[in-house]
Amino acid sequence: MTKAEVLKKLASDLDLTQAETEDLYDHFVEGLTLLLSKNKGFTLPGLGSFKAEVREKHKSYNPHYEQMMWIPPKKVVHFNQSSTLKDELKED
Amino acid sequence: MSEKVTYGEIVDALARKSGQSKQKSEAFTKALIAEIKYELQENGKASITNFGSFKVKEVDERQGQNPQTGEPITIPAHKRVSFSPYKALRERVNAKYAHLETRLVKEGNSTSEKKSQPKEDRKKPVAANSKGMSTTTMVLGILVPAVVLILVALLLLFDPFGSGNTETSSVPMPPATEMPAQTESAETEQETEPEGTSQQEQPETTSSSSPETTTEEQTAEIDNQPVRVESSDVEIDYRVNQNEWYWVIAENIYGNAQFWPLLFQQNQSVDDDPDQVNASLGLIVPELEGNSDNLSEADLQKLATAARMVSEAYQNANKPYKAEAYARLAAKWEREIQ
Repeated sequence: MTKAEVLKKLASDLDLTQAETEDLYDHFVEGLTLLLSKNKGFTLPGLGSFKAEVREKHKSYNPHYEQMMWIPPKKVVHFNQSSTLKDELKED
Repeated sequence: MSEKVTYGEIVDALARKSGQSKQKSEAFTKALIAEIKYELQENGKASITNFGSFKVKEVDERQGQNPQTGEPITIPAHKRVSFSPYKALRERVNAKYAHLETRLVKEGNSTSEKKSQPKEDRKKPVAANSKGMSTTTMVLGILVPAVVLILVALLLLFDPFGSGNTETSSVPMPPATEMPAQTESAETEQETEPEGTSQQEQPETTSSSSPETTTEEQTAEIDNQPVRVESSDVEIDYRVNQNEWYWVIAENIYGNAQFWPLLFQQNQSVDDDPDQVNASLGLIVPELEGNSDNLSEADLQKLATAARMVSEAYQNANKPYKAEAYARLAAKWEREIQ
């Protein structure tokens, strides 16, 4: 499902114009991205929780160059599904 | 570690930013989440544009153990939702660490340990006030007499047969500069040919060392300038070990793997595939005016042209993705010139 389709559906559900819905959508995504980049986690109820964590520097084998390499630290996003979502999936 | 933001705060912030009422923001958020859940249940996947995608994954039954009692239990097959962030989100979150690069592991691996020694020696005169000085001086203290002894012994052995005069005059000068190349070549020989007799090794080292000293003297005379210790590695033939790639070699020589286009430009043509190192080749190593931390303008220019050439070579080798990457690298160095 594309963004346009989602917007169309949400707009009709919420009785908003598509432009308004798109505005909300963009701000929503922008806000979540900002939160994660500022190291703040959050939970979307019914879906799961997001947090950003630093993955420490570690050694790894590069198969192409056949050498051990130091992989530098990196900040990555983690998602943890909520228990309600888990239960809902189980029922199917 | 990371603080949490509540759902209410998110909705408030959304209302503030978008200028919509709180009720509408809340309704929107709820509807969006419901939409994602619906998609997940119907199609097994869902996505939020510019944020990330969700996917339902089947997890097989597996054996586990009760963390409290330690008794084995069987975890039944189930489904779980995985999330993979899109590029925009990944890059925003990782912005702080984006400049870091992978590096070769120095310790542990015995071959790379040996190769790092000569580099330390070469760096040492420049960074004399570095913290590792005491160890490097110790290493030097052992290496210098050893190499001088070897040199003297070899000269004594072979002087009668060689042309002689110029070499004897050059003995006091080269040890500090030439030592890395020599110890390295000796070591690599021992590695590759453990059964090789000492008789075989000695002629080889002399034959490789004597032309070097003469070329060094010549260049020094031509330049008529005080020759810095660093510039001693002009045109050392670098012996390529098995499984060494250009950037591994560049890491050893320059201390920065990114400089490998220099090696490629000097030793290969545009029609060659940069991913193939012809192992039988000894490499000619182009010289840099500065070092990897402090590049001169001419160095940057050299690097940029070398990277452009590599980019072209990748294009010829039908690897457009890599060609693009090295074109960007060249552009980066060109920007640094200004």
